[in-house]
Amino acid sequence: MRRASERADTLDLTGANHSLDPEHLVQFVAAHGQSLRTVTTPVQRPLNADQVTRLCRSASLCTLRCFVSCDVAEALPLLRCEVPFALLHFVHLLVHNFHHNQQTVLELVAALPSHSGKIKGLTVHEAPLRNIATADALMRRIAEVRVSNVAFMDCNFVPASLPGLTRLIQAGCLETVSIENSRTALFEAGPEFTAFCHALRNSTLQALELRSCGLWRDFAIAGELLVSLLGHPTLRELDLNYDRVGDMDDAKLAAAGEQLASLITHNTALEKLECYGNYLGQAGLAPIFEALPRSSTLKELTFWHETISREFARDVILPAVRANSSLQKLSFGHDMPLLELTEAHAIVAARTQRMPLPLPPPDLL
Amino acid sequence: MISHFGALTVAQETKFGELPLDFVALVLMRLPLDARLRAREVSRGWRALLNELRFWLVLDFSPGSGVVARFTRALLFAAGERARGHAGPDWR
Repeated sequence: MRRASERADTLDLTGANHSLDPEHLVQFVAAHGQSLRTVTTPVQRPLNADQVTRLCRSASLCTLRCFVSCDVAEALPLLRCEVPFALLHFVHLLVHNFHHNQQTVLELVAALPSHSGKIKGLTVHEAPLRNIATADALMRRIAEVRVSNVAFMDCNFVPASLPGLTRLIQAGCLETVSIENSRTALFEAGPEFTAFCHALRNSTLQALELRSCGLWRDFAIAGELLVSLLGHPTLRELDLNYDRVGDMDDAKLAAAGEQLASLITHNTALEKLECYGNYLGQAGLAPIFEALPRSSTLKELTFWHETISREFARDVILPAVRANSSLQKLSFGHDMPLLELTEAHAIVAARTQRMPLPLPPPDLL
Repeated sequence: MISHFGALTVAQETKFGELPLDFVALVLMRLPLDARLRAREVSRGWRALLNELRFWLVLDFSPGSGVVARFTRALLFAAGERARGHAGPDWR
């Protein structure tokens, strides 16, 4: 009879993603947990606290790396490495349900050090972070525990939050920063904002998401921030979704487009630019598409909710897409029935289509 | 085997099944998990070989694993049962 240690010891499910039912994983680990030493679950399929608890109980000697989504009360025992969570690592931890209670944020801050070095990504959803002292405490702690990918969803940061965010970026541990600010203005001209831009310029960030932050409310602010990213050597993804530019005259829209076009031209690391709901208009889109042939690295470009005429699609977008060779995904949303845009999609989509591999000869075996 | 065509001498291609079992094992070890499960059905020899635990210690379903079959509970448990030395149910 085989001993438990002579069975499967490593299970890597990172490629299973949406096809994995977490309950099936729980059942599997219940059957094989004694021999398993490492289990890694998909990064796009969160487990809840109950599932993590059952996994850790079934495989007490196993290092479990997983994406967990739970409310803050459930997250605390996991973070404190209480039994049976000593070998739990978070590929990503999404914490929610703070119930507008600052004390819950402080409890999270207190629990995080126990998991230092074992949290790759952290998303904080609807945490009450308007209080600057509370927000700063969380930022400092995130930097201390060396989280690489951090997201603040609907935390309603205000301009006074910028020094804390600046320090977090300056800590140097981050690869990705994502802020979705519920249309609350985050930026305000002044030394704190300039320091934030300076931190961005000197960072080694690979992805930056500034969604619904009111970036374009002050045109000078947007300009200063985008200039700070100009020529950034490591930034691969920039997401400015739901930062509406609209309601400006064509000259300003064109200037906004020029700023984004400069990024496309000068940022040789930039592969993905998302501008959902920016309402750049044709005046703002024109400089971007004029710059497109000069980029050899940009792979994904997204604009939704833009009004585009057939002439603009034919005379500006199509020639730019044909002249560029790097773009692999171009999206204008689902409400674009123009044939010219369909053709542009087809041109870039063709660049990623793979030729089928030839079949091996039948007598190979 | 050697074939002679006038002055030209060429080595005839060795069929995969004629390779020493250790070589076959090295190749099978590098197959994606789903292909390794299917390979058990090729011959009795391969089935016996693939009953060895070393093929099932690491259950790799990572993006770089090369597994092309849709991930299902049956696939996961079939691989797990091999690792326990059980024949297990058919996963397809």
